[in-house]
Amino acid sequence: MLLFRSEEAAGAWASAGEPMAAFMTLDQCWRLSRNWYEGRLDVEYERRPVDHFQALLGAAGLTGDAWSLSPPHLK
Amino acid sequence: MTSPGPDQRIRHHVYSALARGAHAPTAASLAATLGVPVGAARDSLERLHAARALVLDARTREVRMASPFSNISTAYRVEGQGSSWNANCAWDALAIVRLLHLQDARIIDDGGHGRERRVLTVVDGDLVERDGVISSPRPAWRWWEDIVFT
Repeated sequence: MLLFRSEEAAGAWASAGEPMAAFMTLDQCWRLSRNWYEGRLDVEYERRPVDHFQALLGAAGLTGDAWSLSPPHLK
Repeated sequence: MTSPGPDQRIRHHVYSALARGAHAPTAASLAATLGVPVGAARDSLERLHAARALVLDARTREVRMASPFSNISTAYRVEGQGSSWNANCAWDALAIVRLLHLQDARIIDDGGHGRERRVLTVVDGDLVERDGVISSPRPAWRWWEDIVFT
C-alpha cells in the first residue's frame, strides 16, 4: 500500500501495470490505524475475528466490495 | 490466569524487539532466550506464520513481517523518541505511530520508482498532513494472497 498525492497521481504511476483496487484518504487511514493493531504488543494477544476488522473499516468509511475482508460472492 | 504458551511467548518476543526498534530475533536466538531446541522455535514460527500472526521470509524462514513492523528496510519508516522503525507499507507506517502512542514523529516515504519522496509529521499525537491517498493494490479479501506484495 503506497502513498500518493491523489488518485490521479496513483493512476498515472500505475498506468503501465494493474490499476489500484481502492483508495483511502490519509485522514481515513489515520483513523483506521488507531485501533487496527490494538493489543498486538500484549503477550496474551489473540487474533480478533474478521467481523471486528470489518467494523473498523466501516467506521472509517471504507465500505463496498473492495474493502470486504470476505469474498463478496460468498457473503 | 494461565501462563502464555510457547507460540505466544515467541510472538511476544518478536513484537517486543521490533517495538524497541531492534531487529526481530532469529529462530536460534529465540531458542536460546527461551531455553528450547531451535527446531521447536522454528515450529512455533511456522505455526504463527500459518495463523497469520507474523510472516516468515519465503527463503530463510526467519521473520519478515510482524505487522505493522517490517524486519527489513522498506520505502517506509517512522522516526521518533530517538528510535526508528521499518513499516511494511504506508498504512503500517501510520499504524506504528498509533500502536506506540508516539506523540511526535516523522513518517518517511522514500518514494522511488517514479513516486515522490514525502515526509509526514506527527505533532502532539496528531497527523499534520492530511493531503494524500493510500492505494490498495487488490481488494481487501485478496490481501493475504500475497501479503508481502500488498
